[in-house]
Amino acid sequence: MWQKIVAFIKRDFSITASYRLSFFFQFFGILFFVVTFYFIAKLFGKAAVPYLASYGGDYFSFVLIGIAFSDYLGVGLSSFAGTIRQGQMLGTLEAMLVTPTRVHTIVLFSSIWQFLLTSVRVLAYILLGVFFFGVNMTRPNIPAALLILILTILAFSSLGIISASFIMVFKRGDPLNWVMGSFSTLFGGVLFPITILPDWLQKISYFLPITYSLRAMRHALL
Amino acid sequence: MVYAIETLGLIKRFPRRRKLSQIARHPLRRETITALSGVDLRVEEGELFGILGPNGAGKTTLIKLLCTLILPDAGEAWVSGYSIFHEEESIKRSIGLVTGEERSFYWRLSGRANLEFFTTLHNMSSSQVRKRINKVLETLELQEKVDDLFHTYSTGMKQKLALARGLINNPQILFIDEPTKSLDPVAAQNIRKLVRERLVKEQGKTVFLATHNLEEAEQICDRLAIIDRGKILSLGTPSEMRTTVSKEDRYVLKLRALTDETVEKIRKDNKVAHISYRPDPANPSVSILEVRLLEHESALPLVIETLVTLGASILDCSHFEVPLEDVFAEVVKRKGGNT
Repeated sequence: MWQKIVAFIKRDFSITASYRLSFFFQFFGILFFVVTFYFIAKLFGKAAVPYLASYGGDYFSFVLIGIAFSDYLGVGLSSFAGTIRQGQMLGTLEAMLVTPTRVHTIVLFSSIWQFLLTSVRVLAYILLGVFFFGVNMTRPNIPAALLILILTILAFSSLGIISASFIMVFKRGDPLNWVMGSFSTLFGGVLFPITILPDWLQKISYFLPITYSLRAMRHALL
Repeated sequence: MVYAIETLGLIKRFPRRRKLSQIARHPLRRETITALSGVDLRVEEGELFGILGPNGAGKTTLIKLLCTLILPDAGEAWVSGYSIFHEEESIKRSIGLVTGEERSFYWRLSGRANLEFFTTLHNMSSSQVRKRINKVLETLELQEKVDDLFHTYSTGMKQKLALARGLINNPQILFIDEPTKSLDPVAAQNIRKLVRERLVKEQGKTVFLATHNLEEAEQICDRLAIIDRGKILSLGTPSEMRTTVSKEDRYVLKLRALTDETVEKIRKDNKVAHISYRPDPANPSVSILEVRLLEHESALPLVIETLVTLGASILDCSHFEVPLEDVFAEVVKRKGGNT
């Protein structure tokens, strides 16, 4: 099994690294995001404190965790479907499926690289925030954060696998990915706390896994 | 007897894409296209079996079914004695698939990196992977450029790499789908020779080859099946197929001293279906005689005897088989027209 995991990671790393400019700009984009939200947070100043009291009161720390960890949602939702779609487009899917390796192994292992890369991006967000923009993470609960991360990945991946089944059948037009992606950004507490929403809209938030995932992660890290 | 491949009444239908207006009118109606319609085939071990048909005839669907990539709607098939329904993994261990689709590789990786990745999926250890890749590269004489990036390869080289991937698990049965589709004549000839000489004759593999190239089918296949609109229309060796289409054999002779009387005498033989002659444009003293014979094995000696007895000198005698192209057209016309 390990040999196959290494083979998938090696394949995806080599392909990603061969697009050097895109690889570089991916990390450059993180810097832009962080700087943008740093200044938005400055604009809000103390005005956001009442809504963010349970997260330490700082909007920049709040939004940084939101953006960084919502990446996992994106990857969880899209990587399985993306793997299948890419395999269909490249014509490599059949070449893999004709081997004795099972379909679920192919789909799961094809996504490992995306999760690893996302973890590196999340780390970059946090390190930038802590070392250059004064995010306060003096007493982070790392074991709790790791546990939450694992549960988050599992929850998002289960949605992603359902999403992949749409791609297997319809090739394109995966409704689950669109609904979950859009609703999670708006109602999941990525950019603002859900308490700011009217009560009836907050009910939508309670149906989204990202709401619980981000709340737990912020409590663990901030 | 266990056949390398056996199919019984295979049927495969695909849903037909409908326009929005059709869906609106009949939302529950399910329309299908029949890709395979009751396919019965038996391929023996060590045989190079060709499935010949125009684009969209059902060749690729049949290969996908036999490789367990899709399931049939009805019927049953066995590959190496394993059922496509119940023994998918055993089948996958005993087969290799080579497609003519050159995009089925990772273009940003080298040929070797591609092979390493796909070989690992065959549950081999690292040392087995290396050994097997080297062995296949040696068989296909591919060592030279295997470390270059895939996108730098020529079409012929890409096709050879596809063949290498198909052989990487040393399969007993190899499915090859349109192997020479986009190759130049020389590269196509090399691939055909490789398949015929190295894989079938030397290594005793069973090859199931789908092609729409009649010349290719005739050159290398032991037996052929003609498929059109999902139905097997004809099955047999190329010469058996010719016999089913035409009972006549065509001979062209070059002669000196041929007379009208000689020709008339031959024409009276009831095994002579047609006879005609004309002067050779390159040498007017020589005549070109064309005869089409029924039961040529017994008829030809009689024709030659008559010619010699009546004073003609035979300079040359050539036998012309019915082109497979004509056989194909005739079979499709006769049987395909009824569907």
